[in-house]
Amino acid sequence: MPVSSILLTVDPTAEPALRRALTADARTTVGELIGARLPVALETVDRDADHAAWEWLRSLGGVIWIDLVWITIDPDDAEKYTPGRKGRRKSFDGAEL
Amino acid sequence: MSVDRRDFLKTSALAAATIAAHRVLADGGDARGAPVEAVPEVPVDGVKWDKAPCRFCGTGCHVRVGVDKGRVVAIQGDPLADVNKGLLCVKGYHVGLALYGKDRLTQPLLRKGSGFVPISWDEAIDIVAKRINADPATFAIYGSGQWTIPEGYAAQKLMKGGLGVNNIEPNARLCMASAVTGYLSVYGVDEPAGCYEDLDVADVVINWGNNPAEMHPILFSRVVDRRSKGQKVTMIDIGTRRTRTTEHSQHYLEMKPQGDLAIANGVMHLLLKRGTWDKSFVAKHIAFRKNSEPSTLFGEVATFEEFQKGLDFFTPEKVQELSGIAPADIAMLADLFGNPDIRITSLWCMGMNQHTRGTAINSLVHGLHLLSGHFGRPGDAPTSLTGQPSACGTAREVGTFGHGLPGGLRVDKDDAREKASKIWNIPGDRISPIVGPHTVEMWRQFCSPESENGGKIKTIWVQVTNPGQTMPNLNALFNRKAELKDRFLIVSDVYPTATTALADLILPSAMWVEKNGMFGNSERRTQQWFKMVEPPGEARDDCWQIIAVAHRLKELGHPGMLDLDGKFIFETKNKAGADVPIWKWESYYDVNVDERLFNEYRLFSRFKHKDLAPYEVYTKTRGLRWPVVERDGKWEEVPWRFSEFSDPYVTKGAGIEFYHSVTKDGKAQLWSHPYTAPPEMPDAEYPFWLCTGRVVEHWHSGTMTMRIAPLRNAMPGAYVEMNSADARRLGISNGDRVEVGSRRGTMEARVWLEGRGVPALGNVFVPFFDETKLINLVTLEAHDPHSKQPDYKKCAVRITRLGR
Repeated sequence: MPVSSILLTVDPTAEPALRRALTADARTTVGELIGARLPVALETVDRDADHAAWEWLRSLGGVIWIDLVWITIDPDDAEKYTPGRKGRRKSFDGAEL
Repeated sequence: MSVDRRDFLKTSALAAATIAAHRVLADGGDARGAPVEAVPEVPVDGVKWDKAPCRFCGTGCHVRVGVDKGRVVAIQGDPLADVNKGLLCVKGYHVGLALYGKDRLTQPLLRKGSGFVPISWDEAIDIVAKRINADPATFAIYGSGQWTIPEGYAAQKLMKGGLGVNNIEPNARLCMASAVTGYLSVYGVDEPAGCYEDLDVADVVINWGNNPAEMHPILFSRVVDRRSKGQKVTMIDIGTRRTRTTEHSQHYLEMKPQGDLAIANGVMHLLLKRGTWDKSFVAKHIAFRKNSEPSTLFGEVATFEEFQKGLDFFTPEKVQELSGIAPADIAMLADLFGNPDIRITSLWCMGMNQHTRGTAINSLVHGLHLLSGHFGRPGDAPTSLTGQPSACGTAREVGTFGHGLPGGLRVDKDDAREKASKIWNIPGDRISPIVGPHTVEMWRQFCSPESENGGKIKTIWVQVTNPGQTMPNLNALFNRKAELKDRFLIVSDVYPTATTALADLILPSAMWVEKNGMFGNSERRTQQWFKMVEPPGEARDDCWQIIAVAHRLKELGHPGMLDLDGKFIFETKNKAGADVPIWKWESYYDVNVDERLFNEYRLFSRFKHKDLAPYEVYTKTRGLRWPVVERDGKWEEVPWRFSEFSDPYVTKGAGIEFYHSVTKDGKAQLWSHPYTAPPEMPDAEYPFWLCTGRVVEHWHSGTMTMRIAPLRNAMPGAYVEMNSADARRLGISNGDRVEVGSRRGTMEARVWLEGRGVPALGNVFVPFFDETKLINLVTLEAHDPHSKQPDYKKCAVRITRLGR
């Protein structure tokens, strides 16, 4: 279950509407606007959902840029989300490369 | 994870982001003055933290790496790092997962028939050494800008100081060789004068065929951040395709491929015509240069009048004809460059480097800054960006090219060989004065039979790169290896790749924080990290592999593996002065081999004022930009070169001094370069321009990032970007399968219209990260005459609809 520390660069004039959109979504916790920077904590069910949430944030009106401060996941999840790549080649012992 | 634990993490996440926001607000884009230590580490229990540069691009962001139970479990942007100030991009925060793909290579594998069999390391090292010893002259090493500095240095010393052959190249030849020749031809010495702080104060940022919003997002965010504080920064995007960078730019100048040559000349034409060039700067700091016959990198002396005459041709109307850029836009650029009260930073990467006139366009953009005097003040800088984490550190500074020696020296210069021989304590005639083959020629030799004037290279050892996916014209320059039974391909890598598919011997390598390392980023910053976790299985350091082969060569009696005192060229002693057999894996980490190699290598750095500090100094910093000069017992970096306010090598009172001037008068060279058309252009049979490149989710050939599920799922495969009008004309809809074909090969992918990027009419774009859709079967190996860097950005293709 990834938790991300995110810093949004926003258009301050669009901040009220953006805040409404963010607070309406259970995945996000929103901090106070500092200059044009809006701190956000993002919690998602897995890393795929985390990336989808990133795209969702990017699509919101008033979001100019997204920076990551940090992200963490349960250590046990790391292996789950780092599979080998399925390719087109066969290699040693007929294994797919 | 319990609710309490999640709440704690969310609270910590919000606190960390809030502190980071206060920091970037407080410091005005500058790394100083904020309580960076206050940024908390990711709150994961029992985790040990250490510093390392990110493994991916050339930006050189630093990360805090969290390790628990022998595994990397967390990544955090390092708030102590000036480069990224605690922030990371989407690839950076996944970098730790790159280690844990399930198909890591874990044991040496030898090809037997159509398959591979596991062998021991002793056998593997023996095979490599005997193959080399049998015919050193036909052996080559092909590495990359992902080699650590000590790895590249060890390979360099093995080849040039040991075997006495110069058959070594990095994939950086494909990446930034034109930037190198641009710097050399203009300033007489390689690498940028400016630094990332230029982005914090520039009034105008011009991206020349460059998409930093995707390729260098952390640098791009510095500019975006300034705007968010109410600062005015004008961003100009000059390119052949609308990108995420375009979205943030006030001006998008959509040019015809190769139009950049005309644009740079056209702006200089207007500066001269209007009299808005900086006459004082030019009088003090500039000499003029033109092409010689035959053409050479340094050309010949020219006069101002000749320079002026060369620009007469580039009227705004002519520039429009050649580049497609309207006269009003050329005038807009001339207005900016003609204004001494603003500061202009030019940024470029592959668009200007992967170019058959790469040296010329690089030197023209430098020339634009020099003619207008937009040089030498913070914010006024022409700066190339690199794509790999140590393209500067290992390829350019260690000199792992066929012509290079460490520290900017060349093998074909007598005094350079003498200096290197002295440092290496080897006979003066061991280093060959014959320049080795450049990358395209090396692979052509390897993949061509003697009957086609090939075969001068018969064995290649590839480390940390994937030429089976990234060489241009793969059918000619890689795939033909399969037909040539006397050729032997050794590949050291961490995962199976398009290159290991044709390997004869695969050596499993340690990567990133599984080993000690040092990188050098785009702004001359040398960075260091320590090994934090063990590599999987029998994977071992690339540097150890080189040293082990060298020692086996010594055992086989190769005389080049001994110095003048009869000692092994990689002899290493511990602090007590006892020899440590570092060629034995079990002894390799008994000493810090990186420290031993780096402290030898840094002796070379003084010859061209690229001074490096002792290894120990880098262990305590997030990198230092060379020249690193000792003053009052402290090692100090130099953010801006050639400018007296920053660079101690500039003569007092000179203001600006190009102290490696080609003309030996402290002046930079302002070049005349004509426009010439690309070697292959669209025609009736192949009517489209093809441009290739990267995407934000994937790094280079995707070997690592395609094994990180969120990145792979976000961008699972290559695609063909087309202009919608072109697609309509050909009856192609979004998602249709098409074949992209050139005179060299074909590939298939689905079309993406109005997607991530939008190419200009008549252009298509295909990313190269997908090993199942190899666009480099299609690309062209034509290259710049001086840098020898191929042009991946323009060749002629046809698009054929295959169906849904």
